[in-house]
Amino acid sequence: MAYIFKTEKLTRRFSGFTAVNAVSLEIPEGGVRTIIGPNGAGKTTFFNLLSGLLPPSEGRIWFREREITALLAYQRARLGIARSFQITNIFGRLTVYENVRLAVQAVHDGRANFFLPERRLGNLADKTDRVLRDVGLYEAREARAENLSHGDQRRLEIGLVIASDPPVLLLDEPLAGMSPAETHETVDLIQRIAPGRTILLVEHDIDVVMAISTTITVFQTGQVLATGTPQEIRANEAVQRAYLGELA
Amino acid sequence: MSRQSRAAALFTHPLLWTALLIAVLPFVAGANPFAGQGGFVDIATTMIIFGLFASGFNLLFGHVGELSFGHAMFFTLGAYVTALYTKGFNVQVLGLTLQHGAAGNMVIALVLSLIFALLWAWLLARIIVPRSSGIYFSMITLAFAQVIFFITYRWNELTGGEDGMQSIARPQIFGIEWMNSSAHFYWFAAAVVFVTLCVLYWIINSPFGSVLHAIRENKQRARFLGYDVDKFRVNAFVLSAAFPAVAGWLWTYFQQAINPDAGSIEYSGNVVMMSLLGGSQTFLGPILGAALYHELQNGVSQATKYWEAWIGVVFVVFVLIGPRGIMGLIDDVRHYGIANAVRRLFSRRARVQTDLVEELPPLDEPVASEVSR
Repeated sequence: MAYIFKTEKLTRRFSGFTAVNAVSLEIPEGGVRTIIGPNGAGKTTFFNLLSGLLPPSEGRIWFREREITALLAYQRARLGIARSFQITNIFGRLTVYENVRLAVQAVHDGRANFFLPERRLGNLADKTDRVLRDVGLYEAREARAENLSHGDQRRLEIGLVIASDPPVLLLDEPLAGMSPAETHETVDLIQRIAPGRTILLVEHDIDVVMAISTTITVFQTGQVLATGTPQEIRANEAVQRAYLGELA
Repeated sequence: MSRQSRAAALFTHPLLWTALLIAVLPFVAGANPFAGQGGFVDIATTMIIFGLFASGFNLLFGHVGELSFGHAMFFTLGAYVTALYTKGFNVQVLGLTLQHGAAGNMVIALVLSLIFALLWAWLLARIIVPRSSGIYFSMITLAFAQVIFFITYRWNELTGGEDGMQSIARPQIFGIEWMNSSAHFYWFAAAVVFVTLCVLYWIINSPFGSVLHAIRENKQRARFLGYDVDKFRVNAFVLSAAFPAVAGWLWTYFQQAINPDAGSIEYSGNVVMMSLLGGSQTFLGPILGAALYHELQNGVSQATKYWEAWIGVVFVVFVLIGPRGIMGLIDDVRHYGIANAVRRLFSRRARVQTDLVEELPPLDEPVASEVSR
């Protein structure tokens, strides 16, 4: 089966502490792959290694048959690996529209053009409007991003992530701090954008995880404890002991 | 766009106001209506040349969020290259004789100024931009500016050392000495400054310019959208060196003399002050700031020889109560009305929102939580 990510003995240490420990994993193309695990299991660090925020201490990473271990974050983003962050990461003092337009422009040929006015860059505006409608922020497009509610800011970040129409989305706790209504809308949004893409998710809300994941990978102390469908994970005794049991 | 909003957009267009400002400056700069005294055209010339210099500096400061403390090096490079080209030189370097006779083509002088400034900027940018940001970037630019300063200060045979060079001819147009009149030179400089500022405006409002704003706001986000942030920073640095070089070219012709002061820390610092006085996040800010700075300099220096101290006081007051500069105040008046804008000026809450710290680049960019929690 074609994989989208493959890691080989991927390891990251922080001054003596091993956050991700020799993880060898193959993530097939398509579907929603959720990574769960107790605090400190290495989920976010694993995301940071895949997206290029951190270089690995050891090990290698492939993206669609191509080794990306040495690529910088912006080069991986160009390949179509888009990510959101655990702590909302947007352009606070720019408007909602500018935020999304910059994300659309990033994959446009004229992205670094000195002399063409913005309105001459083809369908930039159309695409921006479409993304704004997708994430339900079209009405708020003139607002400064920092003035949005927390839930809207999280959604704006998802907008930034999907604006370049990437094949892979890495969403790091997209539901953190959301109200039940916002959670519901965002889950809808994720399911709407999922077809045709591979979504990697780190999420704590176990009901959501069980509902939207095609496959779940459980991390514990920097290693993969188990991988399987939601039903298999629910039935897995080791997982229950390590993680789910706490919640029951 | 409706006709009304198009008219409003035209009325508030920064280039319109730039043109208006340039048109009235020679009549109001240093004027004293109580004594029945009109404007001084030479003060106005200084204002617009520094307006161009500060605007170029501000491409980096206001739009990318990088404080260069050495932009006078590009100003002085433009000025000295023009002076050397015009007067000629004859020096020995490592046993080689470098020689050039006097020449008078102002276009060649401009092109040479730009080439030297841009090459130097590109070299510097390649070395320092990927390695530093924030306060370290400021200090390293300052250090490199000192290198240029001491070359102009010490290399007597080439630059005339501390005394610099004098009696540099103004350019002739088709053999006519039209520019020897102060007023004529003002309008020549005004045309150059305005056209150059149009180019700057274009750059700021291009797709490239909007990426600079993204980098100013959040480098990490820009990177993860797929922008090669360091490449944009290098290009912005090089572009921002072009405008001081053009200003330096004008400066030599205007003064008809040049000395090492043009590349001093003081000049580098002055453009920071001008940008902040006028409002560094706006296009008009640095131009207004340069005009205000020289107006103050002229006014206060007639009253006291400690004028620099008083300008320092004005600057401190401005930073404390109106950190977004004059343009920030105008913005507040337009949004909240005069009464409320004044109230905001002295209200702690409004001030917190527009803290100067926000305008200066961070010491280092925040790194997302590294360890999974």
